[in-house]
Amino acid sequence: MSGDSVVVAESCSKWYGDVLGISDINWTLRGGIVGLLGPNGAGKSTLMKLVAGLLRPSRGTLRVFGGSPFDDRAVRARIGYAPEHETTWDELTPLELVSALAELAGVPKADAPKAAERALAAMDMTKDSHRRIRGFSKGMRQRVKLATAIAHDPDLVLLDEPLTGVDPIARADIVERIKRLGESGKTIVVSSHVLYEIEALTSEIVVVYRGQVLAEGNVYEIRTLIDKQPHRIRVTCDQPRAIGTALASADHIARLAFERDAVVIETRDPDRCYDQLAAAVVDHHVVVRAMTSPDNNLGAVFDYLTAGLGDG
Amino acid sequence: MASPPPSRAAALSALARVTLKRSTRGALVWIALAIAFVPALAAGGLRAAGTSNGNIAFDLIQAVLVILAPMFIASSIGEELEQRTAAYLWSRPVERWAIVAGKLLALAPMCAAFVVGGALLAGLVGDATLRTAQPIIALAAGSLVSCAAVAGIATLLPRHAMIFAMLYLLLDLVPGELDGSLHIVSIGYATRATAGLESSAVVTGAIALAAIAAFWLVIAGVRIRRLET
Repeated sequence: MSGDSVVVAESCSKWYGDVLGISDINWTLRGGIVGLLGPNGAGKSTLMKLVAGLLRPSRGTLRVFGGSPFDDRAVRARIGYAPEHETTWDELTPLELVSALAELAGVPKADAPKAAERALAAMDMTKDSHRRIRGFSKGMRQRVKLATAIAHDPDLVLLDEPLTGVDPIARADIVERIKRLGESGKTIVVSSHVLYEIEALTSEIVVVYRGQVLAEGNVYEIRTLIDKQPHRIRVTCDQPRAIGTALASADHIARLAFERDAVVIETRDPDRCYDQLAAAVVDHHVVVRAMTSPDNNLGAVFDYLTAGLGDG
Repeated sequence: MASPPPSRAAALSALARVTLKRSTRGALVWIALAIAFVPALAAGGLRAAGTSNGNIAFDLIQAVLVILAPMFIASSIGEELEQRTAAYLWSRPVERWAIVAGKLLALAPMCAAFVVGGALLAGLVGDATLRTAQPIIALAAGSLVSCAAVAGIATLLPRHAMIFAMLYLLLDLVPGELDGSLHIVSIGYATRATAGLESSAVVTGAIALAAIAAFWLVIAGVRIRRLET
């Protein structure tokens, strides 16, 4: 094992009963910001949980900072993990939640509130840090989750789908904050099923599909493949028609479909589309409740990529 | 730079404090308060009717425990697993048994306080049995042991933990009514024995309670380590 490796997985597999989570993964993470990319159910969250010490490998080994994250508390003290799901302890305020979790991560009781304040400030949540989490939007919950992952100043930060359901403006802001964390020297692993989210953060990508690491490194080729497939964005908001009207004339729009409180956009140029979407939201004072990118296009590309490998 | 893992005492204290804070923010306390009042109401009613109530308030308090212990413990442990918020705790550098222990440290005394409060009130308005220290202490001990049992059940069956725990505590009252050696595994019987209300010696009841608590705590400690979220 290389001395400077943060994560080393060797023939690592994880089953949930008869269901395979990840299969025979060999992967070394050395540092920086790394994106885990793959469609839903690909095994990204399983890999994250194994690294976070929530799961024990069924076969093979997975070591973080040279130790087992499942068994070694000292290893887990160096990890910050924000899970995919948005449920937290809603009865608490962000300050109480982050402070309690920082204390449980080893921050002394007297220092935990200050550490929580710093982490919440880093996620622009100072203003709402004394309100109960119940009633927070998805974007605010994501920020609180991110704060729980960084309050104890970990060396490795694991963020599972941190941009899911976040509106375009908040998305850009969170991306910048995650980048800043990376610049401060932390190793950050971010998972997503949306290539454009990952690309905004890093060019170092690990492609996970059907429980296996398909590819690692720069993602230029896969980007080209994905660009051939229209990218779909579903915006749940109070004025779907206003969004549709603002984007309708753009040459990259392949299709617009309206639902009762949402608009589904298919675009051939996601980067431009996200920019114009953010502008439309601001110009028309649209209240965005959720923004998701169904991963049908990514799945199609991965099916194409793996066609040559066969199913066996 | 990350801090070293917290000491066991620091982790238990932090877990207990945050559990207490969470549990006092919802409707749980008010519901528990209303339920704990029932034996006193029954005892008062019987007294007003001029009926000799024997140990009925003690029995009612035990029935209240069938509801309160799962309400406090099963919801805290089971829902954490069901709603996957356990991920926040399990990713921390804290031993998993400490997570159960921290919750018990906060909630079991709270549950016992409601049971004892209800019993004292019932003793005040009616049942003379509940005006002495021994049955009150026995009920407090029975409450703590019931909470330990519910913790074990919640880790065994996190889905619908509250229903399974209530069912267990309800069925537990049956062996206590049976003759023979079976009743010694019953929390209800052991509590009554500790209170001096059964033919078994008080010390036998106390030992049985301790053994039942130890059994369920071991189950909870072993099981929580194997659970996956």
